[in-house]
Amino acid sequence: MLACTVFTLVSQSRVLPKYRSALVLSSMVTFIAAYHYFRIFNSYNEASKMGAVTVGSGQGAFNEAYRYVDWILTVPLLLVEVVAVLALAKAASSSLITRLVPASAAMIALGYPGEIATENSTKILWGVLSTIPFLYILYVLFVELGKSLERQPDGVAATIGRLRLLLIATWGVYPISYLLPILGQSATDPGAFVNRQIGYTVADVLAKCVFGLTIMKVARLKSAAEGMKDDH
Amino acid sequence: MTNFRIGGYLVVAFSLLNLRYQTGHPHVIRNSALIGIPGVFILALTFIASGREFLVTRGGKITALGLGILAVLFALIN
Repeated sequence: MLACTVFTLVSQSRVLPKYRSALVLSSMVTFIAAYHYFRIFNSYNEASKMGAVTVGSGQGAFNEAYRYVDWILTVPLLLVEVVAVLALAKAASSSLITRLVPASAAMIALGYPGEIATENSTKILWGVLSTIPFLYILYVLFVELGKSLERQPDGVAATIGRLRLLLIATWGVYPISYLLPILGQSATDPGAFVNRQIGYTVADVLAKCVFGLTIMKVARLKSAAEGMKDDH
Repeated sequence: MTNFRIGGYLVVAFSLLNLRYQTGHPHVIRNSALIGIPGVFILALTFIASGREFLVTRGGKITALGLGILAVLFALIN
C-alpha cells in the first residue's frame, strides 16, 4: 500500500496537470489504507497472547469490524478517482459524485451491522440492504458513466470498461468474506477468522492498489491522446 | 486547493482510524484530537476566501505541509 502511495505520488509528472488530482486521490486512498494496516498489526499484536487471539469489541481484542472505518473513508474516494480521471464537464462530474459518494457510504454503513451481528438472519438482512446501494453504483457506472465514454479517446473507453469490471471483481471478494460465517464456517472458528482476514486483505490490495494503477494508466492514455510526449 | 483538501482529509482520516483502534488506551481522545485538528484547520482554510489566499503563499504552503507531516508522524508513533 505504501509502495503504491509513493509510486503514484512520484508519477505525477507523467500525466497532464488536469489528471493529477486523480493520482493524488489514489495516493491518499492507499496511504490511509497503509496506516489502517499498520494499526491492524498493532491491534492484532495486542490481542495475541500465548498463540491465541482474542476477538471481540472489548479493549485489547481484535475487531475486524474496525475495517469499516477505513472503508467508509476510502471507498467513496475510489469512485471520485474514476470521475476525476475522466475530467468531465463540471456539471457532469458533480452529478456523478453527488450520487456515487452517498451510495458508497450507505453501502459500507449498511454492511457494518451485519458484520458485527452473530445471527445469520441479521447478517443476511443487512447484507441485502447493503447490496441495494451497490447495485445503484453499478447502474451509475455502467449506464450513466457509459454515456460519457463515447467522447473519450481510443483505448480509454476500453480501459474504463476493464476498470469497471475490476471494481465488480474486487468488490465481489468483500461479500464472499462477509458471507463465510453464513456459508457454514462458524464465526468463532479460527479457520473462518483467518479466511476472512485473507479475503478482506486481498480485496483491499486489489481494490486500492490495482485500481489506483489502472486509474494511472487511464490518465497516461488520456495525456498521450492530448499530446503529452511519452517519457518511455 | 484540491491537494490541500485531500491532504486535510487524509489527516482527519488518520485521526479517526487512530481514535477507533486506540479506544481504551490512555489519552486516546487527546492524541486523536492532536492529529485531527490540523487536518480540520487545513480543510477549513480551503473553504474561506482569506484562508485560500494564505494557503497559496509560500508561508501558507510550508505551514500546511509542516502541520500535515507532524500530524502524520504523531499518528504513527502515538
